[in-house]
Amino acid sequence: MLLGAVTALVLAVLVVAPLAGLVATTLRPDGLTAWGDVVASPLSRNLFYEPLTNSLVIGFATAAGSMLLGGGLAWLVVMTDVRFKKTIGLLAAIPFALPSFALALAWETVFRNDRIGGRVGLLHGMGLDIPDWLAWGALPISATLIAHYYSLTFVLVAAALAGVKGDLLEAGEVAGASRARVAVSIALPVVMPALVSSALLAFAEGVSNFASPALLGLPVRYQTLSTRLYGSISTGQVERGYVLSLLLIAVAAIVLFLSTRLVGGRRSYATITGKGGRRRTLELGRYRPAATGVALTAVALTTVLPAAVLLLSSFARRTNSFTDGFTLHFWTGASDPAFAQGQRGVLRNPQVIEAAATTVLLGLAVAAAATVLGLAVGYVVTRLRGAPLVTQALTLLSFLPFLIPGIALGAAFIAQFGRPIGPLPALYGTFAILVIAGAAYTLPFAAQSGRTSVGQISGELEESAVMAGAGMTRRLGRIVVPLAARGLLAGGVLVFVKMVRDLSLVVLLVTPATPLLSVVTYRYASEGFAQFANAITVIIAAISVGATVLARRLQGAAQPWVER
Amino acid sequence: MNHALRSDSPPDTEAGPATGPAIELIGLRRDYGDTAAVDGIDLSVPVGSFLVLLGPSGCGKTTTLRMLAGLESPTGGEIRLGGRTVASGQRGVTVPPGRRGAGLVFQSYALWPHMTVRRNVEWPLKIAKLDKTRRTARATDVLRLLDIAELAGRYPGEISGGQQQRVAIARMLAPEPAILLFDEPLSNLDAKLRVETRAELLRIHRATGATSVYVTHDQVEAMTMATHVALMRHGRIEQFGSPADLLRRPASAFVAAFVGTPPANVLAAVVTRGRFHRDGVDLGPSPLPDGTDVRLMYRAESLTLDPAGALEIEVIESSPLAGRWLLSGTSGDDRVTVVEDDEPEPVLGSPARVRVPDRPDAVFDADGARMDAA
Repeated sequence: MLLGAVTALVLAVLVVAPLAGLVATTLRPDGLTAWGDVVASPLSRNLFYEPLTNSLVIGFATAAGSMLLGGGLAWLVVMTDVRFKKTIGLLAAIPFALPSFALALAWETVFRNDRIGGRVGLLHGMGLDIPDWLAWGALPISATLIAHYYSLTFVLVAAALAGVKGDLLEAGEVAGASRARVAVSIALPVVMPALVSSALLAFAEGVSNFASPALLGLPVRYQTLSTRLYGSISTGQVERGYVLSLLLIAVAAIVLFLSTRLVGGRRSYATITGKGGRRRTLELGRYRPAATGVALTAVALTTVLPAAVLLLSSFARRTNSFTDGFTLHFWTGASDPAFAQGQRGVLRNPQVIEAAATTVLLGLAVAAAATVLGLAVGYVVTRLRGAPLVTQALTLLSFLPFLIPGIALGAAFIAQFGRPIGPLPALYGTFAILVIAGAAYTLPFAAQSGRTSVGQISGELEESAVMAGAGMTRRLGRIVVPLAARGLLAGGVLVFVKMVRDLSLVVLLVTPATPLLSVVTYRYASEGFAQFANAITVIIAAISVGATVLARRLQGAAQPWVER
Repeated sequence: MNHALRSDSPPDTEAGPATGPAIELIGLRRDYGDTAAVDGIDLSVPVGSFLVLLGPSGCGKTTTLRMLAGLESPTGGEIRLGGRTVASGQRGVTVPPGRRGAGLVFQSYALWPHMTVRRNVEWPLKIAKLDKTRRTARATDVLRLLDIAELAGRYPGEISGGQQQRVAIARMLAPEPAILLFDEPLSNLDAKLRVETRAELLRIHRATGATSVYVTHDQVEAMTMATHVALMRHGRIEQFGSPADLLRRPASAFVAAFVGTPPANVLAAVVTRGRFHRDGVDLGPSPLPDGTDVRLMYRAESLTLDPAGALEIEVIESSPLAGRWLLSGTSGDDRVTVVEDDEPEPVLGSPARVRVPDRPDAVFDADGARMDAA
């Protein structure tokens, strides 16, 4: 009970307080003016309606693209005899672990044209004429977001398809249905919830993403809600920014609300899985080489190729040109007035080193905080059935941040913690606010992993400890945590990776006192230092992928009693 | 055997030495909202009894066991263990599970998968603050008692279901509880192992001298193991007594149809012109007034196949049992089972006739309550 109350209180401070601050600020006189400016004034078109339209277009494109690409690949890998399944599966799972700006930077490196002057991309540099629609705006933004988020659809749908056990499908075949009929009538409905929810997730992310539109839209004044929001706050129009935050939250919330309504009634399908048994795969026959080729191309285009482009271009002597020689300068060079206005290579740049340290530290701190919170939420929600009010409140609170786009959450934290509260000093510009905001931002993931990992521990295992006379602390420490370790660790790594690669949450919160890699990257990119931006992106990707690999190792070590 | 099990020190519990009944339930109830899972039950068994809580699923037997263990609190009534009140719905007394001197074997065994067999057995002793030497000695004792000493270093995931069962029992026995609680412990074992484990459990029960409470829906287990049976239905005790009591003098039609191998036949009938009639078939004289709806009980051994018999059944199955044959059929909505010495001739799905004795073995009213003197 006590644990439940304390957890609820912490969540309220993390989630409710910033939102309340946001709303309260926009209800003051300045805020009310801002509402008018944004929604109903000559400025509205530019401030709100056009960015809204752009956001929605990008959201739809991202959702549709992710569903087709991710769902299609998942079907190929799980249900058919396509070749190189392991490679395809591994590569398709990677993009989600990479920062979303990695793909935007890679796109820019290849397709940027001379519309706004400055450096140009590889293709333009080779003399090709790149049309604006390919270089800027809706198409490149959507494409890079699809390349990022299809990965999530792939993972979710593949898991759902793998859950459709062989005998379920065989039962359909025995009943006389054709393979295609079985796929449509049995397999599809079972994976429908995964497909729909991942598509809507992609939609919400597409609507609210900051990095891609900031890099590929903002330079040509193609605005979305999140770039508008960022622009307002960074130019001092704070109230307008807050109003836009609330509107962005509303859009994301409506989408996700609809998604749960749409999928909610069908969720029971998730538990309908047959008994084991090998699943026979659909033979592609003469289409097999073609399907394999398409799948490999798709995953290569979204992983290997952008990675290669980023890595190579970080060595390019001349920006975005692979023909003018290569240099290590942007990585290890000393200050040289001939290069990049005398800036040192990223590995020699104390600011970058410090940012790297801060980033890793932030990732660890947030992962630790979120994991503890997630465990507490998971434990209370799955075990304290006696207090339905507390558990419902916790469930709601822990999923609320899901509805809040990162950049809007950042704005909310500034609104609430940007000035002193009572005896507490203003947290703006401190490391603490980054950790707190990060914990709130990643709470849904941590709570979900806490719930599933505690939930899968049978109640009897804990009751048998109760019978032995063990108190709650002891049960948590010796039974629950060891048994939930694998899930908690996986959740912790997810949180770590999410924080390390995140730009949208921190872009408003970071000050020069607390530099973070993603923000440094964004700054370099928007100032035209492509090699530096690409080099740091490679570093971020390396940290993310490294953490994931390390976590797999640790998971093996944490539970020696499994897989013996 | 006794020496191996009982160490020199007294049991580390607060239940104290038993005087009077080992377990007493007084008006015990457990309500969930408007529904009563356990609807006021009373019983009392002496030290060393083997009490079986028997009944169909949803009858409240597991809830009763969990209240005995202390995993759930009664909403009314009292539980006394060895004369001491450990839970009271009215006074809100609840002695925590670890201090009741009771051990529980879960249906799923609930072995901690991250601890070896030895650690599983030792951990409760560690919580009971036994020192290392005594823990080790005690664990070795119980593992030997259960014949699983060689599994000590394995993890639960590495041993068979039957072995896990033994570990669960060893873990329960280690702190030397005065009361042993079993929640359908045999339901996950195959048929052969189940019979063997039944004998094993009885051996352990006798060796420890403890009082056992055993929950099952299988009347065979109840009849073979219990000193006392409480047959439960809808949260109440339908009948409490020895297995022989339940078999010989069933208190209700429900009991009659639930216990026994095969269970007794219970046929609906009505009294007309001073005789029992079932769908116009005369089943013998009745002392009851005309128009009374009754349920007549006939043991399977009281019925015989006879082409001239009064009752017609449709044969649905026949099976050998201990050198004799059981033949079952349906008569209207009721099931009729007959014991024959030789393999019966009637063909499955075809009709057969059954001779019914003049006097039924028992008479119940339409609600199943016993009418004749038991």
